[in-house]
Amino acid sequence: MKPRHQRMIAIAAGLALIAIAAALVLNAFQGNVVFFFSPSQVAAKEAPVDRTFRVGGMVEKGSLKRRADGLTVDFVVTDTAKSIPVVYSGILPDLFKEGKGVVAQGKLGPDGAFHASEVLAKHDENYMPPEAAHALSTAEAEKAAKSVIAPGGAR
Amino acid sequence: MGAHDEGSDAGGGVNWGSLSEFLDMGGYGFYVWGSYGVTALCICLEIFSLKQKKERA
Amino acid sequence: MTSDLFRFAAPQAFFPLAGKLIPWFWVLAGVLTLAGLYVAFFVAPTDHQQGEAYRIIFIHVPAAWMSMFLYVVMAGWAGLGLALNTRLSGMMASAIAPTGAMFTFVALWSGALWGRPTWGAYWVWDARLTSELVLLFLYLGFIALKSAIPDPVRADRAGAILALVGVVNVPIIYFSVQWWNTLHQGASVSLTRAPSMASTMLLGMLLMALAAWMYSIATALCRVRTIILERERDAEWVRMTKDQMRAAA
Repeated sequence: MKPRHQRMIAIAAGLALIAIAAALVLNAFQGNVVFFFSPSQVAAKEAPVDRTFRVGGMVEKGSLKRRADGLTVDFVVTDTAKSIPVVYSGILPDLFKEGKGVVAQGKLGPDGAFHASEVLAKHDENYMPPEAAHALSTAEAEKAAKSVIAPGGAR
Repeated sequence: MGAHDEGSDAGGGVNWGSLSEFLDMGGYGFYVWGSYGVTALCICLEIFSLKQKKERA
Repeated sequence: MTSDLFRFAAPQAFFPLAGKLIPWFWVLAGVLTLAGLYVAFFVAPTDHQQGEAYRIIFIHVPAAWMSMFLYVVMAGWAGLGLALNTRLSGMMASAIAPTGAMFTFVALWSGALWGRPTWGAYWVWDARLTSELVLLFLYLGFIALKSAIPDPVRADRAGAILALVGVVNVPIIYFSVQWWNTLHQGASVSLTRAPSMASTMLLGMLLMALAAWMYSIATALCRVRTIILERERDAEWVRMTKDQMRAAA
């Protein structure tokens, strides 16, 4: 075998070893790489109870309520399976909206509510003009209305 | 949209009625121009350093 | 004998070829940037969620793509040099690194300025952002390591090992948004499905990405020429070329 080929094999073997090592390390740190927990994970007690952690999901529609002090807000974070009430006082990001993604950092209180110290908006990867978004939501609403009138009707 | 097109200001077109509207970026001017400005600065610095190295070589 | 010829002839043949190609890549980069900026600001409509803040995408995404792609190309050249002992490979890797680092910084910077108005934070330690920051350190480490070793052959070898080890980070950056819960959203454009963007928005992004490609090629070729002149300064052809360049200037 030529020395050049030997070197190439050695480099390929080295790269494979590094990749395997990285995969093992990432697997071991899996829990720490997670940026937030879903409400289902919190319900399944996968999230740390006495430590600060993040909850991520959708802001449930119609759940956002502002308290009398004008600063504290209550809302519900859901992943459609489970949901968790959140209390937060502070400024909400521009993209914070009902029905949109959110990540809140804080602690689970004894009252079962999540007391957030920071709220971040998590937007999706869809980019479109407002007219298109409006048309899309109208079409969806119409589809939903039709399926209520005639469930499983003609397509 | 026709009304917008008649605007004589620079930065007209479909999106912007006037130059100040263009610079304001719907209230996000600081973030948008901060990104584009620093990018332009980085590119200028890189081209400048390339030129200098070429002259020194 | 043939391998010696291969080793020593390559930079000499490459130098004038690169010199001829560079102006074309500068022109293409300029034209594509102008076209891209026009589409980005005057053709692409506003976004339904983020308003005008989304226009940062036209530099953020091309810069992020280039930061990853250039790293793979750099590591590829470095690995080629390690395996075949060709001198031009190590020089190419050195020539790509600063541009790659610049795009990584731009991706991080524009990302911070995009994150603040949309997410509500300049920086979060999620997997996507952290791995992109690691990429910047890999670039800077590669540049620092190479400049710290005076012997170019040993510098190329050490740099190549660092570059190859760091390649593991690139798929981590790319797939982080799928593998873990991240604040960063998923990819809008991928090879496996239709892009989730309005077509004019996509057009602007692709034009800017192409411009970034042409710019990267132009800067890398420029830089490799100065590296060739520096490293081969004792060769006869370099002395002659330098005299010619001085006469022209």
